[in-house]
Amino acid sequence: MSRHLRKRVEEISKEFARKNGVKLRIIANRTLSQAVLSNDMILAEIALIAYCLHKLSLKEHVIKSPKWKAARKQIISNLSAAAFSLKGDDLGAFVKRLDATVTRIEGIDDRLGHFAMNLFEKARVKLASDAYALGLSLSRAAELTGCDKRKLQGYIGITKMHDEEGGTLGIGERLSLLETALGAA
Amino acid sequence: MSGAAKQEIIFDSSTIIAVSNSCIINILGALKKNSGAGFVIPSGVEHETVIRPLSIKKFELNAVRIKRAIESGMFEVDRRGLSGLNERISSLANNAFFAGNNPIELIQLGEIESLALMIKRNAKILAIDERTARLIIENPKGLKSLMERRHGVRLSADWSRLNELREMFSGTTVVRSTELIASAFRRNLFMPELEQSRQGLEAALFAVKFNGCAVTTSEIEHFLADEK
Repeated sequence: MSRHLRKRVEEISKEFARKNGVKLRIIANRTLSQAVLSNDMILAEIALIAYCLHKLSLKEHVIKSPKWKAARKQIISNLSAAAFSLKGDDLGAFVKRLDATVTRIEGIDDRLGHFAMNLFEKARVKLASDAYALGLSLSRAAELTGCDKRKLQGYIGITKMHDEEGGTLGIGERLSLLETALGAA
Repeated sequence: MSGAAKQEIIFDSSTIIAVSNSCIINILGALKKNSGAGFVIPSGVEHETVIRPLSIKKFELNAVRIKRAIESGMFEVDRRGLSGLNERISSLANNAFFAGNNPIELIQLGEIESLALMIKRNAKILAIDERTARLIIENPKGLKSLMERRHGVRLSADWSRLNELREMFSGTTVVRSTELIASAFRRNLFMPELEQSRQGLEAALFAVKFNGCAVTTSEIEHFLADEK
């Protein structure tokens, strides 16, 4: 398992260094799917990092900032150190390095971001919504990604997810069952 | 209300949140009075919808609304322990689908407690706007194919566990906030909260959809087409 985590983080580091935002999004999706199927919160956190790096890479005011170059270098260094720690199967050091990466990304977003809701907060809601789309319940999707369940439910409501999935029993059919049940006490 | 024994509806937090966010919780109150049904929530739902959000400014208003609904008697909070039932339901639902040899943890205490309370109180109606827990008891094959499509992989299922779950909830009527609203509409209970009109109904149904109720636009439109 740790080999798999290492491979993912190396892949993120490599694509981030290449400034390949699209590939980072693909990695985030793939990693989240794997996190859902294996109930793995560390993988979910890695997916979040990939997603946040993808978003940062697309923001012109971020990548044109004089602070970006140093921050980018630090993030790559943290990711490489995280991957390296898994060569010795040191999961504790790996998680610490991931946390340091998250802190670093949050720092950039604090200084250069334009919104009151920070990048990680938004990313947690987005990936929790993806986890729900992948089949998890609202509570489980929120738990896996560290998102607030109410925020998640509100976000899902404004997506087209439920329309794309189609329905089972319609409102009329359920209503008829409800009235029968209420009258049958 | 007939003189028959009181029917109960057990609520998951997703339904209460969708209705309360849509500012139409009083319509639920009117439905409770008119139908004579008991509206019951487990203590975990109270924690999720009231106790925790009361300390979060973004959600405080809704928490205050729901707290008031509980204090006014709209919802009864059942605080009895559910741990044995919770564990049983969790062990069935969260060991039902597999990716390779790995069981997929699909639902969590948030949904499990309402399911457990159904069994504990021998209730027949479950109100849940969330999709996955509903599909597990109603259409597990549909959930499996949805997951396979979304993940792009084949999954395996333990049908004996899924059948046991379906058996546990075999007499259950599952509704969403949309059906509760539709019932209130047909009973002429929208006033004074909302206009008792087709437009009022449409507005209420779409409001809960946009607040996370797992319903499709075409389901709402199909239903509205038959309403005067």
